[in-house]
Formats: sequence, structure tokens, C-alpha cells
Amino acid sequence: MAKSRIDTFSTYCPVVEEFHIKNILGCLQKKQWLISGPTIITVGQTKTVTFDDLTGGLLIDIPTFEVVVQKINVAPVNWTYITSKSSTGFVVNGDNGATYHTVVFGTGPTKPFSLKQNPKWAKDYCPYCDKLKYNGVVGSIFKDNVAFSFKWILSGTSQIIDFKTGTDTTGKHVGVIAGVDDYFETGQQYPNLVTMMANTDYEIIITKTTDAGGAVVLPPWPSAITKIGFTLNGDNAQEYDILIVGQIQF
Amino acid sequence: MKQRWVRDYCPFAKDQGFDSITGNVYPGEQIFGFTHTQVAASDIITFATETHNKVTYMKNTAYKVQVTKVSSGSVVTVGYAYEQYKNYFRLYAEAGEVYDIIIIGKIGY
Repeated sequence: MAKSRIDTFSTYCPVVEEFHIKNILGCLQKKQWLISGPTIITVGQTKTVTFDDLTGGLLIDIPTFEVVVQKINVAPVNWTYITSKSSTGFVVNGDNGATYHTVVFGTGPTKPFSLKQNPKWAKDYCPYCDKLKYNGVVGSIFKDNVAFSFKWILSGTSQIIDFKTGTDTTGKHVGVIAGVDDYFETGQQYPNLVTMMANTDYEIIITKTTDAGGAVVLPPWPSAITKIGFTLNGDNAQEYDILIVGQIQF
Repeated sequence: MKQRWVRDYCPFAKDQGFDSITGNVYPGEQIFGFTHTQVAASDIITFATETHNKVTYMKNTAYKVQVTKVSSGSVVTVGYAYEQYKNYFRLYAEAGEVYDIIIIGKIGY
């Protein structure tokens, strides 16, 4: 039987099987976290989001972070952006009454019960991390939390998309360009990596990733969010990168 | 049955104070992020420069990009990425504004 060039994490790691995450998201540095959650602008056109609120008090201080944000359910009137980044949070700018998904990729937050730093990296403990050249693995405050991403070319200005199709690898090269050096061997691919989410509480972030059509006319936004997908709204025939953070259902 | 967390299995997670870790569905993908100040309407975003050589190139061009403006002043042009190559992509956005960028994909190093 042909053997995949990249074994699944479960070959090595009990974490993957017990926590139903299929694989682990690697990172470059130590103490990097991915946290996410929704927020609603209830007054005016801004909302202060603190890490304390976002994590229920588990993380209150993140010295360095990147944040991406996405309005959901309704087309943005005031186009979305972030201001006032600080170690304790940030401000979402957008539309009054609107809900926004936020995803924060943070480095080196001090936990209230911080532990003594160990000089070892993930690759020093874990043969799979070493094989895939993961320096570290990304922390989470939730069990079973998964971040995955896929590309979608929008047909029309509004289209129902589903995770089953978005994560379909059947017979496909993983790379955009056929012949690139990374692919699933025949019979070893997972046809659909995600069929549905465990609930509708996942976060969605969308960015246009093609020059076709020029500047963004309709900033992309998701609506009609269900376990199996959502409606993607944006510019016709444009390619979008979609990031999902939440719990998946097998 | 005792409820275990990832920290109970994974020594790295325990070292870092992680109760749990973030999963993925694709094998081998990593995440990294950086903040970029846009110089012109279209900037070349080179991974080596933005990550201080932690990432020189991606393993393929199928990596995903997320962009959000993080500087003051309402958005005039929505930032987007295009021309994705292994070692760089282009960001179309507003000159002089600051953007947080998150990349997910396989790193070629």
C-alpha cells in the first residue's frame, strides 16, 4: 500500500485523536495563541474589545498580536477597520448594531498563572513537529478548537458555500499550480477534510485574493451561517481566502 | 472518566502555559502574522523581510492571506492580496495606512 508522504498527526500524537482536531497548527515562535470571538457594536460606530472579555479572563495581556475582523450577516456600510491596538485589546470600527467576528493571533501573552519558560521547542519533544519543521504549536483556550482556511471563487455576488466543497481534496493538487511540489498521493487524500462544524459559533474572516476586477467594490461578508457553510457575499468572479475558527464536527 | 486537557499530554503546551492547542485540518500548515505599513497603492510583501527571515518562502502558492486595516481613519480602499508567489505577494491597499496580515499555509523555509 502506498504510504502518504506526510503521515497524519495521529501516528504520533494522542492529542489529535482525543481532541478531534485531525492535525495541529504549527507556528514559528513560542507562546503564540489564536483566540477568537464575536463582538457587537452597541453604541456609535466603535466597540472596545478587551482580551479579558474575549477570553473570559483567561488572557488579559498580549504584548504583540495581529487582529483580523469581519462584519457578518449584513453588508458593511462603514467599512471595517481596527484602531487603538494595545496590549489589553483593540477597537473595532464599523456599523452600529452590527456583529463582527474577530480573530487574534498573539505572541507571548502573560497568563495570570504564568509558568517558567522552558528552552525546548515543540520540535524537541514531538517527532511530527520536527518532521514538519514546526518550531511551536499554536495555543488555544478552548478544547477541540480548529483553524482552517480555504480559497473560494465567488459565482455571482452571493453564493451558498459549504465546508465540504471548500476543503475537498479529492484528486486535487493542494497547490494552485498543477505540478508544484506538494500534493496528496492517490488514495491517501482525505476527500473532504471538514463536512460540518459542531455548531454555528465559529468565526469567519474573508479577504479578497485576486487582482481580477481591480479594487474591492463590495467588501466581502458572510450571512446565513449554518453548520455546513454560509452565504458568501462579495464581488462576482473574485477569489477569496476564507479563515474559519471553531469546532468541527466529523 | 477524567477530563484531560492537551497540557496533560503535550510537554510543549505545558511549557508554554497552554491549556489546549489550536488544531488544523490540513497536515503541515503553519500560521504566522505581521504588521505592514503600506507605502504605495500596491506593495510587494516579501516573507523574508516581514518575518525577519523566519520564513523565506512558502512551500506552494496555495497559502491563505487575511488582511485588516489597523490604523485610524475610515477605510477608502479595502485591502486585498494578489499575485501570490512562494516568496511574496502583492497587497493592494491605502498608502500610508497600517495593516495586520495573517498567513496560513505550508512553509518551504
